[in-house]
Amino acid sequence: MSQVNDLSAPLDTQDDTQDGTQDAQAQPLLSVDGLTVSFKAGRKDWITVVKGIDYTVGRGEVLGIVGESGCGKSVSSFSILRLHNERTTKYGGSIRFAGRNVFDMSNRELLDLRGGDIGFIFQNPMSSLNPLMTVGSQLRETVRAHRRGLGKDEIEQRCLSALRKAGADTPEEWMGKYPYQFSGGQLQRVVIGMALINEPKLLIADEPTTALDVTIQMQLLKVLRHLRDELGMSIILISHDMGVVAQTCDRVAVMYRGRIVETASAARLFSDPQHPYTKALLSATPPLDGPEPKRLKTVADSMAEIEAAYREQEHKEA
Amino acid sequence: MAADGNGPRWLKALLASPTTLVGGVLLAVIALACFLMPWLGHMDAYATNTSAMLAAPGASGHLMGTDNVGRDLFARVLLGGKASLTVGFSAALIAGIVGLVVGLYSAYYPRLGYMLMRICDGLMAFPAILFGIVFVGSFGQTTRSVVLALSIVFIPMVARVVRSATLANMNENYVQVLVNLGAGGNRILWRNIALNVIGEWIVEVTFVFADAILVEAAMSFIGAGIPQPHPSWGNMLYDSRTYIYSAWWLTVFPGVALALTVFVINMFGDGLREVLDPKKRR
Amino acid sequence: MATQHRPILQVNNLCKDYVTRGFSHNAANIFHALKNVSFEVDHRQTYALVGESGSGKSTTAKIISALEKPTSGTVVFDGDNYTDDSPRQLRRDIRGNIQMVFQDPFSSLNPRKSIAGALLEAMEIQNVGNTKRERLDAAESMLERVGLGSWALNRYPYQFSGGQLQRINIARALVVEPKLLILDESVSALDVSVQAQVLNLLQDLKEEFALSYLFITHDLSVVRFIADRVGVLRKGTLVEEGTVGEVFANPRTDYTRNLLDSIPLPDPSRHQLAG
Repeated sequence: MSQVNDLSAPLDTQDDTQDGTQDAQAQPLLSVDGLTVSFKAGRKDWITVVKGIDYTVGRGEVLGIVGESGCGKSVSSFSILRLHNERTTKYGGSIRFAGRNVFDMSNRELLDLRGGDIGFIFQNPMSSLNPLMTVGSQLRETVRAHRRGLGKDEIEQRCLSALRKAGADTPEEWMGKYPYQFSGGQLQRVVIGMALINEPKLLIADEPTTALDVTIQMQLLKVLRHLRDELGMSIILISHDMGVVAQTCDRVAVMYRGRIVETASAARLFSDPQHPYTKALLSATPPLDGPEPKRLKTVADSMAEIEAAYREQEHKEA
Repeated sequence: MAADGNGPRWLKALLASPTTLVGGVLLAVIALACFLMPWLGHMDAYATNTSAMLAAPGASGHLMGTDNVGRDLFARVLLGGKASLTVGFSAALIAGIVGLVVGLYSAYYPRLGYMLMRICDGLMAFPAILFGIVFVGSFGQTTRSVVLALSIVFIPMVARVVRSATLANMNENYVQVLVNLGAGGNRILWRNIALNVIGEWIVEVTFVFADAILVEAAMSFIGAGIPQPHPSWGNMLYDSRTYIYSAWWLTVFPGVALALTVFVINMFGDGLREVLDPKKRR
Repeated sequence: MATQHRPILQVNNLCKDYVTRGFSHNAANIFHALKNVSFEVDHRQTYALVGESGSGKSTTAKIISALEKPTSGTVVFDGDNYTDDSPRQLRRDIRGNIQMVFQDPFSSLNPRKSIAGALLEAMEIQNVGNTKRERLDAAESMLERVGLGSWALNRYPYQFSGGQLQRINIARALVVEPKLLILDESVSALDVSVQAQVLNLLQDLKEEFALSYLFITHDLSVVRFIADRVGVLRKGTLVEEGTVGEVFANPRTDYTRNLLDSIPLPDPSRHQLAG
């Protein structure tokens, strides 16, 4: 294990993780402070992919992280559960979940966290399921891994209710089917159900709808929104799609080249973007109504501005 | 990024893989020893010497001792190695080339491929040694027929590997692009897909090389391989059986030489598999 | 130049069935991928074919680019019905005129071929240019045209980003001087900012080379920007067709309306998830 922790930070007090400048709740469920992630590139070379990011997720809040491929949005979210290979990854900063630093946890505690208090949804539903096992047996397995000593009926009830929460219309029938018998949208519901099964406090969804058709995407976003509204779940939604984030999230962080360049409430970010990169991303999406542009503004058009703002931030943080 | 062309990159990858490097160097050393030393040292592997029969290693200038008729064992091991390597390499080369052609075409033309693959299945149903014995029995016991028999036996192995690699490549869009441009089968196969299956092909040919040496040794051991008095590791092991209790060196040296060579070739092949893996390059 | 009222591409009553056979007679399973699809692409127009996964849009693309044969129906290029052409006829009359750019920019290029190799090969197959020098010049100027340069010629695909590779794929399609370019989800895998650049590029190239586009996509927001006409495919049937203005303003079918309403808008005040 080769994480570089901020050992000077006190571990016991939860109160100092408060972030007064954010409009999050008084005691954030998750707070990420100065997170850096580096990967081994050669014998002594390390590439820093995440360059010191801070954010918090309040209870019952949906945080969106947007950015383009390679900006570090997935890498930073995988780090919350320390999912990277520990031998080739160096972490810095701290990630506190419910007051406890993830980087101080033992492997045992981490295993309990994964699929327990934190659920994870990956982009490709097919790769997160075992094709040779029925959905039911995979769900039951997940329950047993985290809650020992539950009765058969209780396990069954848990599975069914998780599937129902994920929007399955006939959960009893779904339990007996194999992954190949589902459509892509249904499979992603199964995966969401699996993430929900141990009633997590935080759900991390990494591009959960990217591989799906728009109509199915809309249904799944409704499911996520419903989880927040009805069960008070906190959600981190990682996406490259400004539209998806605008419709689903309360607060949005924009990532660019390993840094968060702008964080704001969804309403503010989309009506009054501050950072030139955010502006560029918004204008690069072809509009669905209003006047039709002859040409699209691209990120390259405002590259000078973006780089200047990025360097300024880099300078400030250094 | 700065590296232009393919040369420096594969060389770099080769140097970064100790398995390949050690395997390759050892294989080169063995081959050079077997081919050059008898020639440079004027060694005689056939001269009998009744005054020095079954001499122990080190005695009277015989590094590995002598055999039952007083021939120098070191010279015979080296010469046997020359025979084994020649047979193995030729068989691997022939099987490799024919297998490449069969594999490529049988993947690209499904009907032809179905037929060719059934023939391969038929060939593979014979144990390699049995086929070798029958073949040598009917076409005469010469080095050439041994090579030919081994080539035929190993063609299906190469063909299968090439075929499955080709099939995987045919799902890539670049093949569709070529069809869409109006490219013919030969251009698609030889000037495009072949470039991408050549890595797997080389690896498979290396393994066939090692396998062929083993099968040749087995054939020689039962007397259906390299004809006597030419030494080969197989027939040397056969000759040593009688003296296994009195002259251990007759068994140990050819046996170790055989095992070492096969080990080194397999090591080299395993290393190449990593070096040439296209997935690692991306 | 062909007469203006003759469309560059006509697709007439296209049907495509896929049959999976087993041992018993009953095991034969027929899947109707396309059911009676007809549409026309005019000269210098962009026709967008929109549909969700499994709607048959890629099958249509493959039939038009003569990678597959339809079960029934015809495809006509500039008055020439090439549905049942031999490979030789296709190569002479069709292949060079209809080019296709695929979704995945990486797998569309041979990983072991340099960019120059890929472009020259395309020209060789189609007999464009007389000498190697001529072809090399054409390749270079086309690479410059798509926003790369001669520096790209001797590099290999793994040295480029997805956006750059897609430009190279477009360049390779264009060096054989086609009249119709089929773009099968060609910008779907790209990041927003790169996608915008490629879309702008496609708009420019269309003017410059007098191209017609068949733009196949699931993304309606792109359609509005790039296309003139749009057809909506659903489970192998063309359920709606019209100019982009008509279809986007007044979709005639519930299916199209639902598709349009399902695009998440970058505007939180719209509350699309409510209800």
